[in-house]
Amino acid sequence: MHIPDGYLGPITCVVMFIIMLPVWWYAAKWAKERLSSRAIPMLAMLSSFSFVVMMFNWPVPDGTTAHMVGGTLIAIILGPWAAVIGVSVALMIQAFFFGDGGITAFGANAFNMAFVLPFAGYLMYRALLKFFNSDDVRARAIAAGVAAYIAINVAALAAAIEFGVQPYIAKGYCPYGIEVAVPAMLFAHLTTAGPVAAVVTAGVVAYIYKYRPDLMEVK
Amino acid sequence: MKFISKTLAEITSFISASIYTEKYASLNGLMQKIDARAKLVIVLAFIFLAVYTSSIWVLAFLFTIAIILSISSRISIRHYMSRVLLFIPLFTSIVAIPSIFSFITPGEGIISFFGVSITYEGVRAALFLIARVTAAVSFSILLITTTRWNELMNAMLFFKIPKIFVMIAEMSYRYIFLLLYSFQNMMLSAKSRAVSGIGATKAWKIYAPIMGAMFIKTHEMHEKVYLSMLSRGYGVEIKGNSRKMRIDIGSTAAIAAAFLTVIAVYMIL
Repeated sequence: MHIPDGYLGPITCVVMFIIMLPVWWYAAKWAKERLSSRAIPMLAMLSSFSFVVMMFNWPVPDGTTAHMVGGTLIAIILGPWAAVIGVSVALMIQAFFFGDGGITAFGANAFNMAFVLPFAGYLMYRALLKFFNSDDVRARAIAAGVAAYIAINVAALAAAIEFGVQPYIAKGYCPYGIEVAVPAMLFAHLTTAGPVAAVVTAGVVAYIYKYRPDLMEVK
Repeated sequence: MKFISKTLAEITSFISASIYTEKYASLNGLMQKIDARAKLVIVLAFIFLAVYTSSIWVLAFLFTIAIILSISSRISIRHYMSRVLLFIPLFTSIVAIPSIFSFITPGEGIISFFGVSITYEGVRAALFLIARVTAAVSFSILLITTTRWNELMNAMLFFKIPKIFVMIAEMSYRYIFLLLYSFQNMMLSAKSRAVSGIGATKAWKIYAPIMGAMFIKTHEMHEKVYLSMLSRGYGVEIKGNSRKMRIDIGSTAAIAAAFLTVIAVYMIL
């Protein structure tokens, strides 16, 4: 889901940065106010965690390896704004260290994976817990799994729309229109990356709930 | 077993990439001599041109400049090319293949078979995307291989990227290695205890607890890190060591040369 440089036209890149600026600003303010100076080591370690998580190779049927599970997890446990910072920094390290994900597309990548994904996951998780009307381990694990599944697909949809609009507004970038980009991205994420994210997030939440239930009570 | 081995291979490739960066960033080449702040500006200017231009010649020219700069920075051409071409342009080529056919890009047919034809417009669009991506990636790899992480972070502070992000990125980069080390140990111990190999189902079963344990470990570690920071006199302010340093003449000249090139290329081609 990391969009490289050159897929998105200049206007899209600029617009995505402009959208992300207030988000980053608010996240930084939130971290300062809500988390005190402890926040810095904690968020740093969480960024390292979400970076390392992206390295897991998941066995999925067609041989593709799916990454990107950390966003929903951090959002569920520490709140979506913490995830905004944690995942943005992990993406920054990937862009500036590996060249994975473009520099001009950084705004767009951060929007999809560090903003849309954690918020979709968090809101879905809270809504499901309310719907189940219980917070035992099974309800939490199922809610987390479903939330992760929805979140990764919403983020993929956002990415697909971003490069799907290119043929209409900027020629010479991504050649696929919405009618091709959206089904292609969603097919991959609905069938492989999504289920991986769901099972893993559910498993991790169940594990943490079993061994450190206090961590799950933070939010 | 395959999945664990693949993950282990990915960890190793990360560590070796960071070793290569250290190795190339400490050489005495052209790009290494330029101040990190100047380098960031220069590379961004070239990447913006690559993203902005609508001429294939500009893209070809930019790719040539990147190669010349990498040679004069003493980066081994084999290492550079494999880092530039192997991943993103290769992936993009696969992504771009369907767009050469008439059902995606209608237009003048070149060859046609079974009622589908490869169109001139489609080939053009695919080549354009690949060229653009390659030109942009070649510059970001150039920046990455010739700049140390802490210099890059100081440059970001200089350009007023919020401190909290830079501090977190600096710390996070450091702890990636520690986390990877414990992650690698967990993977290796799982692998060494499996006599008949770990199949897909088993891999699924052991991954979630490993990840959960990693999360708990990370969470417990941050408390210790915070306390040890406090005991060493941690205050909220950080000082980058080159924030107020003036940019030397060579780097200023490099910025000027880069901007002139960008403007000239944009006007002429």
